[in-house]
Amino acid sequence: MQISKQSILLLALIVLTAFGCGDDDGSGGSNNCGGDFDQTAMLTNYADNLFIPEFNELKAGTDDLLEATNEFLSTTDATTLARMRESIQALYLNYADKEMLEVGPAIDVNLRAVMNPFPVNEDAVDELLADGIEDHVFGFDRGLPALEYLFFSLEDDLLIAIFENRNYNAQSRAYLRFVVESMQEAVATVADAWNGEYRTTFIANTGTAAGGSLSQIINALNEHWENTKRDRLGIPAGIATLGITNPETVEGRYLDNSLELLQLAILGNQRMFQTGLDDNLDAIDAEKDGEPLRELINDQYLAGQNAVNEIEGSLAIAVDESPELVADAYAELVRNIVLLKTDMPSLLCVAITYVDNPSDSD
Amino acid sequence: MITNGSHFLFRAEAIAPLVTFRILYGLLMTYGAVRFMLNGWVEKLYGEPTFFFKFYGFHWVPEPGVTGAYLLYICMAVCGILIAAGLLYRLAVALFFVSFTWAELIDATNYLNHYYLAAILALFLFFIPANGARSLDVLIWPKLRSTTLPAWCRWAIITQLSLVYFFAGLAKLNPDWLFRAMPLAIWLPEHADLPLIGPLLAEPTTAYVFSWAGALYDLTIVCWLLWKPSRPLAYIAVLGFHLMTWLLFNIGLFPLIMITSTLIFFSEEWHERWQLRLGFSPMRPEDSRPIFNKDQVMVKWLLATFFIVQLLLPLRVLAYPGSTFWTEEGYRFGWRVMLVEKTGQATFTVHDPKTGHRAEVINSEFLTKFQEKQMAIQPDFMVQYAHHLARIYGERYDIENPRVTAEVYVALNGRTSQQFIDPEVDLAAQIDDLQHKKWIIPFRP
Repeated sequence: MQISKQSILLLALIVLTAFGCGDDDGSGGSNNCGGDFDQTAMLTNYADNLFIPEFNELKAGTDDLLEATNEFLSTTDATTLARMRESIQALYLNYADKEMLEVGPAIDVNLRAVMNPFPVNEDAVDELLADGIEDHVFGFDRGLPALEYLFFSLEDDLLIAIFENRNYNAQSRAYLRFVVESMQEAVATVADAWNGEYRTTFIANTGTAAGGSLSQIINALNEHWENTKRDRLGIPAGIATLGITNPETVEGRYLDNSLELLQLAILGNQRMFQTGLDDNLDAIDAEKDGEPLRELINDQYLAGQNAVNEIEGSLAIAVDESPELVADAYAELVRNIVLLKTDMPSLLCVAITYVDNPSDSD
Repeated sequence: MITNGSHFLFRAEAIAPLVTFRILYGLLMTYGAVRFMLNGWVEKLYGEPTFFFKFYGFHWVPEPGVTGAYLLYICMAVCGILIAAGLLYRLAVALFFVSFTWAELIDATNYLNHYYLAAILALFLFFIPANGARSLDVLIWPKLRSTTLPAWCRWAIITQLSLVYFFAGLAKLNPDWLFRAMPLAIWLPEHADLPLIGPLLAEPTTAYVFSWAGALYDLTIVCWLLWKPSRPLAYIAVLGFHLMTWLLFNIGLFPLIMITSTLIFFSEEWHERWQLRLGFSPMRPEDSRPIFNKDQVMVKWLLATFFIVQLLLPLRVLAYPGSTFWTEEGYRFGWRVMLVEKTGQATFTVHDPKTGHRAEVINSEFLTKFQEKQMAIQPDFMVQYAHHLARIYGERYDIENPRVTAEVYVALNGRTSQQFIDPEVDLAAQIDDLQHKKWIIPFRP
């Protein structure tokens, strides 16, 4: 026994030293992790120049909608209806380049589900108008898409008839009030958090751990990008349904501004990248196939914007009339996913958590 | 030779080390099963998925559903207690082994090396009458009493643990681990907010020190544990190493399994002393029974076969071309622990060969996020998934022999991603066997 023990030990040590001496300084590649990029400065920039001003702007929009709704419900006529429509349309565009800000307090209030669950379930909205909101579990029957369906697909007379102050309108008025108030409350909660203590929390939450601010930003960016390419372009174009297009699922169906909303979503996502992730990539000399990753990502955003620009008129029509252009645009958006979701976090040594782990590892 | 060997394997040794092992193993398994249920993992891992990935050769394993899975885990928890108490010991071990293995075979995406180790240890216990002393069984059936066991009982466990350490250490001798400190350079800074050691963990040098120390530990710890003079110090190293990994990584029971199991290296007297100190009554010399193995040849053959398989299984990676870290071929059952940080991105497309129409698959419709994450880096899962998709889309859209292709990108250990498989290959036409999958695109370092 003694001999074999010692020989095992000796063998192990020889193997180890052999590998150790082999090419110690040979592969200087090392790793990117633990560089000296000033993350606090980056997070401060994110808070002060992205999250806080954006949510303040969004809050102005939801406050205005609440005001317009109150006016519309107290005096239901053509004037207040026009104001209502204006406010909804403005808020749609206001929110379109902010949806990617789903971090911290926005996740807590489930902001996207409150603001923009699309495509709208029109039957569900119709039922809510008639039967009321008691005990209802909301899904695709609230937020901007529901308001858009009501205020941009129905005629003035009908809208006034549905919402004017009559006993038999109690249900529909309560529904409208709920939809608008829940949006206003959610946005106000998020804006207040950012203007208050969450800013400090967010900036102090440095590091690369799952749940850290950097990881949250990257997660939010990626989830938004994937949702955008899938829901705003892919599903309507029929990418998941063997070429059977689904024009009725476009965002902004009645306002017919799907392409504008899509461009705003791309711009918003790009702005989130350019608020500091891009500098972080430069700071660690992040490269892919010899090209700076920052440039590859920016080029790809641009390629996506250009390809979407090629689609003309209405997206709901284009998916059937010019499917090649839509397919091209979709392909360009998809190309950014690998860069944003796989390459960027890998080089920044950040764990992607929205693919979460319900178990141990080993 | 043979006589010498039998002399060694069947020499009578005190039962005390196996009593310690039995009690701690049982309690640990109960803890593990209860923790699993309380964390809601039974729902998450057995209830949420609508499709389950299988191990090669185990596609026949029935899926028990959530209720069934709960029953399996309750059974494990109860059996763990019975094993520790030594009550209906052999039945409890058998039931534990069956329920545990069944649960692990349901979905291969849940594979963890330490689950595999726990199953092997249960298998050993089934053949080791560790209830011969300090058990409830001997109170009920005094003729089961025995103060000794044949030496192979303890040595089988020692050999198994040695193999785990050895292969884990061997796998660490790769350039990423040694010269890029990967993946520790990614994992350690995640804990920069820990008190005291946090700032140290964020230091790039720390990852190198930990990598080299870890490799040295895995490769040599067995020697230090076997050699009596170094044993106490070595066990302190075991405690330090595994408590550190327990603190830093999400590795569940593994540190506890190793910390408790390695006590088996300590002498019979050491175990006896501690058991007396903890209040067990001394064993009576008259309870010493002669060695029970009548068929020594059989035992020898079984042990030899088992350990040859245990040697060959981890070495099967040599039969596959390319790096296991990249291809994952031969990765499982090989004690390759904590070696890679990988993210994959897999987009599947189903093609109708008749019309040329295509459908991009939204993975979340068919897989849980956890399954998707595992599938996106493991080629055999991609084949299984492709077969599943072909079946579903074939029915849903009435397609004859749908083709399934996938664009897969994988990033390994802090690198940029690379395309992982041939995007043209029809995965639905592939067979999930043990052959090398030629459509894996080799890794470019």
